[in-house]
Amino acid sequence: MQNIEVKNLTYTYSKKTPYEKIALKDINLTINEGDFLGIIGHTGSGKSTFIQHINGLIKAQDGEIKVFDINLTQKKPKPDLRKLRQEVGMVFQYPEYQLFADTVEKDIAFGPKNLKLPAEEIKNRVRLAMDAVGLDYDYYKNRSPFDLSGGQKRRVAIAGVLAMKPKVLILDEPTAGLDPIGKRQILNLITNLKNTITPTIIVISHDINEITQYCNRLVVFNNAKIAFDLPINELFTHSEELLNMGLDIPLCVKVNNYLKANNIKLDGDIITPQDLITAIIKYKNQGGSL
Amino acid sequence: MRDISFGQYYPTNSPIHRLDPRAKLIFSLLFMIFIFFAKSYTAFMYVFIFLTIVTIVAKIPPKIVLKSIKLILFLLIFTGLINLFLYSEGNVLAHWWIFTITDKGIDFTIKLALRLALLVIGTNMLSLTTTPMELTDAIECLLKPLKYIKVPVHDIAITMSIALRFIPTLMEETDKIIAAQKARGAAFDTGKIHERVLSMVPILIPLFVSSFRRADELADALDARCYNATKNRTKMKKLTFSYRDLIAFLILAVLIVLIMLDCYLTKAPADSIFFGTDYYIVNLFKSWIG
Amino acid sequence: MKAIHISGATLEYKTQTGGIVRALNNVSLDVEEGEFVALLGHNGSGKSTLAKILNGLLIPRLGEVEIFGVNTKDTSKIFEIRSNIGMVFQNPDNQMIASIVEDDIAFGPENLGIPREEIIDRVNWALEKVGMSEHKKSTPFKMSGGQKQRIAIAGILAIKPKIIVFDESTAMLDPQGRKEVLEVAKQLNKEENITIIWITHYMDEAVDCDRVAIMNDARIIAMDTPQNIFKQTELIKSAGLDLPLPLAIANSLRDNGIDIEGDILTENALKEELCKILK
Repeated sequence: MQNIEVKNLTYTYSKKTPYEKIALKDINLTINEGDFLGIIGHTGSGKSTFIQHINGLIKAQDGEIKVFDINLTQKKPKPDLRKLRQEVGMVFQYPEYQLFADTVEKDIAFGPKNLKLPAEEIKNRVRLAMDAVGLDYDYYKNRSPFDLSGGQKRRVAIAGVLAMKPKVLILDEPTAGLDPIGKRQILNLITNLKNTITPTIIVISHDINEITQYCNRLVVFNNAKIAFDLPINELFTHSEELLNMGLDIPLCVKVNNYLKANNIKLDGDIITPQDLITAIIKYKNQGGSL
Repeated sequence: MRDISFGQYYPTNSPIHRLDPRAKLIFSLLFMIFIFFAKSYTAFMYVFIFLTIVTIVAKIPPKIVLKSIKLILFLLIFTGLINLFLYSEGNVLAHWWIFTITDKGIDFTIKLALRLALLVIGTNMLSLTTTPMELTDAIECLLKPLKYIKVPVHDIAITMSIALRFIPTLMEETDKIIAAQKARGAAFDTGKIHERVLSMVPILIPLFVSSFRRADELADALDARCYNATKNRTKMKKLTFSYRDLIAFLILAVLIVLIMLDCYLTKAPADSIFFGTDYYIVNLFKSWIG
Repeated sequence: MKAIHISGATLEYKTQTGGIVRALNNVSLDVEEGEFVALLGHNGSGKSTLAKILNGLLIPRLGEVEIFGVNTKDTSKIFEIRSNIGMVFQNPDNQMIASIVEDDIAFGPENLGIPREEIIDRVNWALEKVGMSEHKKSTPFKMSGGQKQRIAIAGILAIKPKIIVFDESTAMLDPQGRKEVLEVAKQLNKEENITIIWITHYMDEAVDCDRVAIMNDARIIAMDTPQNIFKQTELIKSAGLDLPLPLAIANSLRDNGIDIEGDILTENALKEELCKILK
């Protein structure tokens, strides 16, 4: 089922001034239910501008955007942004910087409250959201979010978005600035959410080794355009082009390319460390039997 | 998003842009003073020609220059109407209740509007051709003598510089926080007054928290870079007047001489310098007594 | 003479709720001039506090800190210390004071009262060292994180320090920016013989430095060459850190009975070793 459909989207910042800059040019993209989509690209490649369109935070200048049955580009009647933001949850970069309430519970309840839900329902949602991010409700609900550690703060912020019960969750650089433990926790959390609460997840990340561990489809933004939109195993047949765009490719793809150049042909798609390890063991065993 | 720390600045790298900012600041002050001596239509013509030359040399589109008048259009119309109706000297052309329209009143109103418009266009030239950074340097330099009466001119200048530097950063941050709270269903433009004020809390608290964090880090960075190491601080940038500033001054001097000559020849009566409000008050008073 | 000498530094701070947390617990550390030392540890392990006692932003309650023989407790010499040891922080936005690149870089030498002509030379030199000469007159606002951070480095270089501390200076950058900044640091270490303290929690940034120190729970729990440190898998894990990815892969292959030799810390080492054993 199609969740999001974008057609011929173009966007220019500061139109008709000396500071004019094209941020998006003729973007076409369909996101389906169940997609675990990764978006990569340089700072300024247009990926953030694109994401903000999907959430109605930037008004489209040209083109069409449809999110579920909400047509964002129609003039009349005006699109229902409140409903849109309920359907599409957005976790911004460093989301802990938007925490504001004096208790964890109040902060997470901010979204559902804006939806004007009954008190009982709000409480339920807060509890569920905290469960989902692995924060014990009774222990944390009355604590100040500002006293928590960096990783915990981020989980509170994510819970605040989950409390809106979105069907699509967008995360912008979810692990930025965290240490290895914090990173692993967030990555596990995202994979869990995909399997339980939110069927469709979109992640923007700079860390190619990380994003290839869980996404099944990657969209590459380059110079305001979509350069590639491919399943992960197909994308890295374009390693050369990606490197020319100044983008990184996964370590194991690099290693595999090097081995290939040295006439060592491993079996299967090799993108993650697990792929590489399995393929090498297989290669060794076959080599032994030959 | 454009860099708002540049304010009105319109980059064309014209000879006017390259004038010493101190010179431009002083010229603007002179212009502001002497435009009040322009009392005949001939004098206004001189000013108009002068500003046209400046606009052409500065390579700024007339549309951009005229934009500044838009902002004061309301003030122009308001004071214009007051003067038109309440100026009681001269031949009466129409009369109703306390309102009188006289021939001199019409003349006065037109002149006042012209003067105000030319004043705004002229001073706006400064911000169109000078960056706030240059202005800060110019102000620091012009305030230097105050050092001898123990005014901490340098600290003031650093503070101004840091403020300028952080305006775009904090603007960007505010945008991000607003976007993040909107994504959680916050509405900032609907509801009753007290609801709207309350809706600012989720923006202001994160903004304060982050400003304090930034201030903390900035203080460490200032210390690490030996701030206050010596009283005999030096300065890399030295503003120097050039022949260009002299030429600009001569052109301005011609304008001033023309205005003063015209003022002397027409023997115009002492004029209002408070945009006519003093006349308004005097007239209102008269009409009450009379 | 030792560039840095710390002995028995202990320091606590108060939390907002009134508790007392020990940030440094009897920390001792010696760094020779010209060394490149990486300091690894998870968030809250005490790394940043350690950085801040180096230039007198904080003074330890117990123990001594000496920078080229000058004790940070000697308040009359604090600016001598700070002109010897520069510091680049995490958020590039929060260490710039001017809106134009060259003005920002001039700030340090201006504070030290350096003559005008020399400041201009230093600014040009520093910009060249970080590869940002063509941005001299630009505003940093629209630059990438890596570029901003290089300008912050140039601002420190203009003070002509003998030591530079990078306090998680790559944590907020994209991979490109991280690479740029690390390259600059390595180059300064090699070409200018500047002692580098590199604080991070990216393991791959530590693999080719001279020595690695691991911090956990306010203590330095190990300090050795990268080869020797990363052999201690249990120690790394207990400190809440990860192994560099190439090494993790090599270890995993070893566990599966594949005979991998040598220290596999970098991508190239992994490539070559795999090539060797699979040919």
